[in-house]
Amino acid sequence: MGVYAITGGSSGIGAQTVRLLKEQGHEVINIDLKNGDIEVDLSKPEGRQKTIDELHRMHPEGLDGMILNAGVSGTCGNLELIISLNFFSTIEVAKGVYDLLQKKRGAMVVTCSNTISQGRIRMDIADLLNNNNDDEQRILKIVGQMDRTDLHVGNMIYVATKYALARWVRRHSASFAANGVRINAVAPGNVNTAMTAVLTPTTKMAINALPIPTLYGQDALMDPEDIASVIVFLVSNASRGVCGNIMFVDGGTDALLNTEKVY
Amino acid sequence: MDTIERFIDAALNKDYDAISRLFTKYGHYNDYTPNGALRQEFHVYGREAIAMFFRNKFFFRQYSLSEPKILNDHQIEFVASYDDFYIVALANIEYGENNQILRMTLRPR
Repeated sequence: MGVYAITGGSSGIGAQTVRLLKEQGHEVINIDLKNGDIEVDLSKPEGRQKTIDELHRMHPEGLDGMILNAGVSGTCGNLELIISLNFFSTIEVAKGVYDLLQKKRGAMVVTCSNTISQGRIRMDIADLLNNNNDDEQRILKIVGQMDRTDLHVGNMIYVATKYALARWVRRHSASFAANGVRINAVAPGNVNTAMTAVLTPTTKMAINALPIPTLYGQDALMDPEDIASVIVFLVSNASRGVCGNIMFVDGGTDALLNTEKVY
Repeated sequence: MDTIERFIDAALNKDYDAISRLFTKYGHYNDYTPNGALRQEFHVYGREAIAMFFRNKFFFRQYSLSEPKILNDHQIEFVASYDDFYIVALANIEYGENNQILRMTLRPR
């Protein structure tokens, strides 16, 4: 059986992923702000470093999989948190445990979002994240000047972080793979999680206007397990031929809204 | 009111359900006009998908129709807006059973 680590495993998609992996008999290390095996604040560089150090201490022989799932929505009202947690914690932890994954030819999965294909991305922010990510503080200062009271701004920053993550996965996948580590992303549709349970009526209307064809007529959200089962597949040997893939797990929303995007 | 008028009425009122009901069960909506707005075309198949598609576009204000002019039973000319990018569009309609829309093809005028 394998050893897997996951960020944001205390609730939602992460918790279901932990459950599924444990049901298969694997050891799972949950890194989260609360109720984690490693309790840290991943939005802070110290939290990321503690995570990397702890994983090296616990499993110097290596990891079979690293699932980078922690994140907040665009409605959290904290633009810097969206940037730090969604983007920087993901890439910093990924880089920090890369050597552990190489030891066991493991796999990484990044939780992204299907909103990356629905337009209105702040490409300037996505470009900053992908092309200037050696200076987190500078990007936080830029984002800090934006209107945090405007929900629209929060959502655009959220989408930019997820787009940048998907692009980061694509950019690094070949090199990782050549060194024995596969990396992929899942792009979930709207999922019934703690994050979506506290949405405003307007946001709920917006979510219902992002139809999920497999749930046609129900105005329902996807179950976290729908996403978790794909994450488990992507870190398993069954997906050994898959690398650099942004897998949309959204019940067909992306296909509905982007019929011509076959690649 | 015939089908073409009902389509215009539904589109102006952003009534995605009413639009979808004008199509046959497996009706097609093929929109080539977004090319002019440097966006991908839309090809939507089936009444339910058409309803979901227009619900999304109308809610997020990514599509609107204005200044419609019925040219004949099979053609409408109107101004289509994609994210505030305006294109004069020509819709060609093929009818199926019960005078429902089998295929609506939109191209830049």
